[in-house]
Amino acid sequence: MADVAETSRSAPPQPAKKRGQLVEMNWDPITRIVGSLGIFTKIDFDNREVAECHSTSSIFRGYSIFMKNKDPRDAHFITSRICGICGDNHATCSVYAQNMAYGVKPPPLAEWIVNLGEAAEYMFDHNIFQDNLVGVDFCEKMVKETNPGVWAKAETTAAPHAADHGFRTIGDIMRALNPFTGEFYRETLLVSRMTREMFCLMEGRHVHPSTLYPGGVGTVPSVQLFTDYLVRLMRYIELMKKCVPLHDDLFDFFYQALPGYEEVGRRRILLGCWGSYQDPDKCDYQYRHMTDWGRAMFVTPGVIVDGKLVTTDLVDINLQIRILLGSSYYDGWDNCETFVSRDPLGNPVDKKHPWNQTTLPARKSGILTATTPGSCRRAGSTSAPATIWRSTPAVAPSRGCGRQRSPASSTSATSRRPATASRSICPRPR
Amino acid sequence: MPDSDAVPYGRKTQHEPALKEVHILWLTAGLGCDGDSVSITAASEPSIEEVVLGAIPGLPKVHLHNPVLAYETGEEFLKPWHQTVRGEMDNFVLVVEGSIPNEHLSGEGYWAAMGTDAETGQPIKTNDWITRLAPKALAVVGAGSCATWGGIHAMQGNPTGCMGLRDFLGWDWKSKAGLPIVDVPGCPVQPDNFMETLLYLLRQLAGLAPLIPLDDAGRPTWLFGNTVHNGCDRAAYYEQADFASDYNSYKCLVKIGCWGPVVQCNVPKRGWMAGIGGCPNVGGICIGCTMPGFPDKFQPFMDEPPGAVLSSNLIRPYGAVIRNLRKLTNNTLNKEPKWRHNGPELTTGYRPERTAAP
Repeated sequence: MADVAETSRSAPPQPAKKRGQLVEMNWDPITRIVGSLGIFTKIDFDNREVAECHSTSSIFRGYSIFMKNKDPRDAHFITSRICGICGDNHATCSVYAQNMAYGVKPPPLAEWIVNLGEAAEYMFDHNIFQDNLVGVDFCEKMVKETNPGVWAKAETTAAPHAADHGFRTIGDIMRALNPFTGEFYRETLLVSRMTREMFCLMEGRHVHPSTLYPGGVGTVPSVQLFTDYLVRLMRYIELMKKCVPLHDDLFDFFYQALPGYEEVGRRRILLGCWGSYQDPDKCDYQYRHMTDWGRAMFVTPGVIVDGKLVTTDLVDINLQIRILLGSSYYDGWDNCETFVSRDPLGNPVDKKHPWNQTTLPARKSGILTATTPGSCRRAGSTSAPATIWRSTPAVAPSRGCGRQRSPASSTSATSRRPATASRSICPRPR
Repeated sequence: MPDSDAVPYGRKTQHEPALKEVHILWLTAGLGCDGDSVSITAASEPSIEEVVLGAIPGLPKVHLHNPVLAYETGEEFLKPWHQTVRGEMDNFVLVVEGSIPNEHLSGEGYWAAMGTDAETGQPIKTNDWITRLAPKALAVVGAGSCATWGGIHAMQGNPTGCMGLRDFLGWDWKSKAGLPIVDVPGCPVQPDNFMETLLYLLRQLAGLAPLIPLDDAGRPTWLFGNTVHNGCDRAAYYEQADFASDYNSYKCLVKIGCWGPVVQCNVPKRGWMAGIGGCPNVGGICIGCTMPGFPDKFQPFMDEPPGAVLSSNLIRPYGAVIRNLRKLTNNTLNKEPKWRHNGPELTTGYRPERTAAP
């Protein structure tokens, strides 16, 4: 397939227009994310355009440096600590990579336990992100402050699914999302705890699991374990019957009340996913079979460029990943050792592939920012490639495609913070 | 009949908190993963919302300034921070999360920062926030092993030279209110361990509790005074020398990497959250994440700790004997007494007493 990493990274050329006065607007730190991110913009309000936008990540830790020469079996314990909300994701990927490196396949029940644990993590993450982090952007307090006209409308707009979720007006929904005082905000916190209990049942503790090992899990699979999980799962599903229509009503209202809001985050459709949930009947963790077991994952891998699915082949997806330094403060590693020149199937591996990356922080004045791993110019979920044990010829499949992390390249200044559609939840410098 | 003008008993025994309001400035900009901030959202004893909404009596009004949860963003979020540095607010607790980097080593750049200096346009280093805020704080609290001891990012070979709060401020450092640095370790900190400690501190600041009992490393003694092994429900397998030789086991994990007997932590005792989960009690070897020596002194995590070789061998003969003796006794106890049967005669040992004729 075409090497999409080589194509130009700039946006399509705009017709020349008279530039209005530029207003500097900065949001540093961005709050209600996990990680550190600052957004700095220059906005042309006359032309309703963001003229310039830079993002910065203001923490450097050095995982790819201090993990060198450590026992590879320690890898997943360490890489879990990359992130405090999705660390288990990193640990799972690392375990997948170790399985491939050591040539081991976990027992099927171990695979199911990991799948259930990661499924619980999705449930937890979606809830806490949606209604305790992002949801605050849509709460009464926020909307009243930033869009009083929209708030007034919300108070008098009936919620179409009131019978399902119990909130009579959109304003009632927004009130329920107020941080700490909002009833749905607090209910979500309780749900996020229950789903983390489900996670703890399968993986021991949250966020950094205790029971994951290469080749299997230490979790004791008892009748009680699965009963405890199942009972909580059904409570969660019951809550979703309320949660989904509530969000439908809220977001549909925004599209009606704020014409143009649907343009927020609109840019080239670039999505990447390297799959979730192994099928133990199909996955043997061998690189030469990766195309097949990748496609057997319960969330299949894929890359979408400009709205078109271009591949579902994990071997392909892996080989096309590049670490692009962009404007970050790292030195290039072209003169460093090439660790892997060919994959086990004989395909060439690029020097800028994560397997060949060497981290060389440049201590010049300014910010040590994160690198921008890119495939199809998209900064994708970087957990697997950047932390994988270098001798492992694998792309460790990470969680699914809901976690796009892109430095904001186009933002809307209509709300107090960069548009949530293009935000990063977990800008994870490491 | 009580006089209707009499003061109710509660009003006589309770009093206003010594501190009416307190701000928690929670600095997540150490080298961290924000796992401790996420962890407190998992707590239920107490929950963060119960503390913030004043559901626990006697506490001062709490204002939480944590970027992971904050309503405000950017400069609005930083406003109370700048006010505090300028000395305009002095009733606050500084909570630090993440390892403290060594900024002597960052050349012209920096390892960690939060916000931008309005005058210079340069990022404000995390270490500068700490040195400016700590002297003014009522208390400084380390949330999680990175802030307390340096943790994962301080492992051998690291480029940032990072450390814990006590290494940075001094092991003997005391706040203006006379408190040593309060260290609540864990990677991440166990949810209720942190919230319980915070609750204690708030009660202390309100005048309702004496000085928080800490050990010489600043750990709350009631939480970290026991070992993992003391609280692990697999300890009985250890006592009977019944050890797991692989990870697929419900038995004691000490021979396959668990450091429980020498690690101060209560997670196996109280579970990870709501009594569910944990570490060795549910099949996850203890990697010592609450300890100052973490992670280096516990690596490789999956190898048998050297001390366990000795102790497990010493206990083998005792364990073998005791297991067998217990099996014998257990067999006996698994049989009912002989007199429980459906036969025609009563064989329970009952002998009715004959009474004298009236």
